[in-house]
Amino acid sequence: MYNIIETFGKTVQDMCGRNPDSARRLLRLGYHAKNLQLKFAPGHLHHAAQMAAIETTTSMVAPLDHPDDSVMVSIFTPCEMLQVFGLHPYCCEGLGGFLSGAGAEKAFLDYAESEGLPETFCSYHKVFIGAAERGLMPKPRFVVSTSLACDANMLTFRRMAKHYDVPHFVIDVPYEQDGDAVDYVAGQLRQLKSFLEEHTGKKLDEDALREHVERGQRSMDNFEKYMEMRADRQILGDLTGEMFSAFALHTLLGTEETEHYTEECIRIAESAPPASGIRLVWMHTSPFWVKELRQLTDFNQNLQVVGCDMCFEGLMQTDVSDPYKAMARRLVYSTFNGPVSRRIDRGIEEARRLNADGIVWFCHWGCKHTLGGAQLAKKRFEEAGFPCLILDGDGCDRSHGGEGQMATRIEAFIEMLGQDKEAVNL
Amino acid sequence: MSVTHYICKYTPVELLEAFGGECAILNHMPDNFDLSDQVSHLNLCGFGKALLEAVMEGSVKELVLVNCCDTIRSAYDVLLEYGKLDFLFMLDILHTGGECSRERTSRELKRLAKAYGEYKGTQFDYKKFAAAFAPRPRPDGPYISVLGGRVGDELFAMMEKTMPMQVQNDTCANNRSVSAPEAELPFDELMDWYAGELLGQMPCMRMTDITGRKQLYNDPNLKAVIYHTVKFCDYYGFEYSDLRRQVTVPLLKLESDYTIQSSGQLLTRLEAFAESIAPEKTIRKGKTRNMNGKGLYAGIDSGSTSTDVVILDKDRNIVAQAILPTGAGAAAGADRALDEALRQAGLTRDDITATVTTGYGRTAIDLGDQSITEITCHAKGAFFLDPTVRTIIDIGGQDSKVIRIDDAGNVVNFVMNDKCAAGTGRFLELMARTLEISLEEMSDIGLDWKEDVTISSMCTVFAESEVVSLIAQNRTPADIVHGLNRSVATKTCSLCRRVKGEENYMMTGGVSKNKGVVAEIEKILGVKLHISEKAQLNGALGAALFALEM
Repeated sequence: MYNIIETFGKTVQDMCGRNPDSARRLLRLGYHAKNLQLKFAPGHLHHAAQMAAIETTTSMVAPLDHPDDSVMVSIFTPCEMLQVFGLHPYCCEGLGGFLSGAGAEKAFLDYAESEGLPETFCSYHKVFIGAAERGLMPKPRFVVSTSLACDANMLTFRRMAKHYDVPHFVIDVPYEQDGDAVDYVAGQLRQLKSFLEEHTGKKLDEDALREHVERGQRSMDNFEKYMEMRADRQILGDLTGEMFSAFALHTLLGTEETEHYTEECIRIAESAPPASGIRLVWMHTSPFWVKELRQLTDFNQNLQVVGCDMCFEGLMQTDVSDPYKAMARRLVYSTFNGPVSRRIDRGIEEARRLNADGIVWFCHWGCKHTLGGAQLAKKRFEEAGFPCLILDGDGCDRSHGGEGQMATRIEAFIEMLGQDKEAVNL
Repeated sequence: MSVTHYICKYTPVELLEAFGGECAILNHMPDNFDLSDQVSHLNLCGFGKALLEAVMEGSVKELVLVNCCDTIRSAYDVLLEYGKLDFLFMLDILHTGGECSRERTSRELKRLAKAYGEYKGTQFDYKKFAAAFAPRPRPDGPYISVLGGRVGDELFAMMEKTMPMQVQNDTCANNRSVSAPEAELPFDELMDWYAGELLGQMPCMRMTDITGRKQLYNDPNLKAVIYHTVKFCDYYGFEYSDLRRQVTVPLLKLESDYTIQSSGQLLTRLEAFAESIAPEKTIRKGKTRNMNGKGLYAGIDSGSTSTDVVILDKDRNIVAQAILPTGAGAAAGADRALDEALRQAGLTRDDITATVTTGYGRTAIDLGDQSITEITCHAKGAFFLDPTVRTIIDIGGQDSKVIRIDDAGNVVNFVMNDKCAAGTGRFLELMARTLEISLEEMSDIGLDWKEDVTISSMCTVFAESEVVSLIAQNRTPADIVHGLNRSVATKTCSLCRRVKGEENYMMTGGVSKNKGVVAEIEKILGVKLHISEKAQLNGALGAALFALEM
């Protein structure tokens, strides 16, 4: 299987240098084929995970299928308004991750670096920029981004808007969490509405927006319930599934598909057997391309990743009577906003709720927020009774290597956790 | 009285001084990051680590930060936990300059005023406030501007010393310019006005609208730009990426990790840049050491692996040459190599009229009348060997560089990679050792591959483990070597793109002997590389030519 992916990735990269349109068609075909595989041969995936995978893959193909209705966004951009306008969010982190998943990242990373971009820049963003500037990605209608949750957003999307010469709207999120900040962001979201109306020539259906935001809230409530239930149940999944879930709960929040997915999560949990094995909470993205790591974490009765902060960072109760404020609140009160202690505290809270045995703090290359808080997180987690492993790696750039080292560290960590639990055979 | 340190131009310095504070911008480069690494992460940006280091070692006691970037926000998190500071404050500045942003900034200023006033036990003094506004003078004649991410004091001093004209520090924190108030206002109103002034400065790269930054490089007095980035700081690499196509004056990209140690390694680049923009000031003429010499001119290239010597007569004919291992010391290696060349031609040192040294060890050698960087010397040598050459690819033992020259042989752009072994001769040497083959074998078998294999990593350590696992998968050495060659070629061609490489291309340095690497570079660039028989002597040849022209 790996060879097929490798060959596919290589072909996309090689073809892109000569004929970007053909490369894009091939990529589209590849993702449609992946969707068929997910529909008809999902392997070990349980039904909810299958739904999230299909929903995410479909959303990744949509901009390739309908470039004229695509909008380039970051994962934290609230997309309910775009959904109401029938626009397709075209997610930087998602496409960066998907290209890496197809083994097609290297040529785009090299290209971005040869354009003078820093080697130390986040590789999700760098793959995305490289792919866009080499012509693989289609021209979006416009760009909507937010300053949450990292500097890369301020840079990538400004560059993309300039590259494609399309309008750009930035949602600026203050550092502090208070009512003024929510009002400030809600005000910008109202300006976004005007921006979208101006550039689409359509009026926003406010009722439809309210419906999407309410649906988003119901989806978050369902996922919260699922996490409660997951505490004493064994639900086998894979690390990539957590990333699919993250997309479902961000870019796709507000869609019927996400609501169905979260309902299915509850159904899966209801029929799941009692918990067993080592249970980990994973903080940040994951290096799903590392085979050695997947062999440990995927569909393993003795080791499960039971939660990921990319999924739970924005879960909250919001008053949906004002949809703009509800969306704004999600941004301002995201645990990725403000001091890292907010993210750490939420990690501890979820680790307790999920009955986790330990926490992995994954330092994705170039993510300063995560890197900077690593030692602090380890200290606080351990004080709260959760052993913590700081794992350095890269979520999508294979050239940063270290597969063997990563697997060794995880294995040693699991062995360490296993000493306090029953003997664990990985 | 203790000093209140700040790091960002949006810091309300005048407000702090109005409460009796003495403010200083923090730009010190430490020797290392030992203390910072204990509380944070190795891959935080160099300045963030320098900041943590300064606080952890106790040289900073009062600190006012702005939430400039992810690194500073992280540093603030760490300092809240570990920093033994008397006063620590972080100001939330939004990314836009509109009315809402101004209101919010005004509230932040009042929050700071309250906290700082309580800490100092002082009241706001308008006279001190008004007096604190100091206009920032602009250069009144030709100057070189340092743009980009903040530059450490020590590195900036090195730039001032090396450059042939005045140098202006226009990096992120240093291009601060806030106008003074025209009249005293009630405090709240004054802070509203002040917030507008702070936000109205020329934007830094964190702001949403950066169009105002054009004024930095549209000055007729600007003669050259040194664009500085800090390793693991992302903001300014993006501006550099755009700027390199926009500015018409010479541009040097320089990256430091904010340690004094790293600055030393940047000296070659600075000197080469100075040589390229003002050769008449940096390359001395008419001063020869030995007026009794016999019209013979020596060039000594002291490299990491070998020391090369070329002796020319006045008609530019090579009368002697030598290539010897550098050994433990650059000076001793140069002595040996020069003596060997003289021995071959039956000459003595007194016969030499002038000597120019180049290469990494150039400044450690006493033999020369002048030292010139290897970049300028390589360009000179290559142009002499083939005047049609416009791009020189040099891959040596410890660095790789690409140099662009004009039709008169002058350096117009160059880029160097010497931060690690990635893409250098040392990288290939280590991989050959892992494969248990000689460099000669490696050169040949790289052409004889059957299956395409990918080596993802250019890091020597990770690439070695990839090679080991490919061996375990029974991949042939030829296929593996081809993968390595392609990897080196890709890295090199990326450097070519960065300097906008043009035909004709010449390749020099030890790796030019590796047929497989040459073939891969030719394949990617789609052009034939010129490789002279004198390729390895190119630097020494250039140095000897400079000696002749002195």
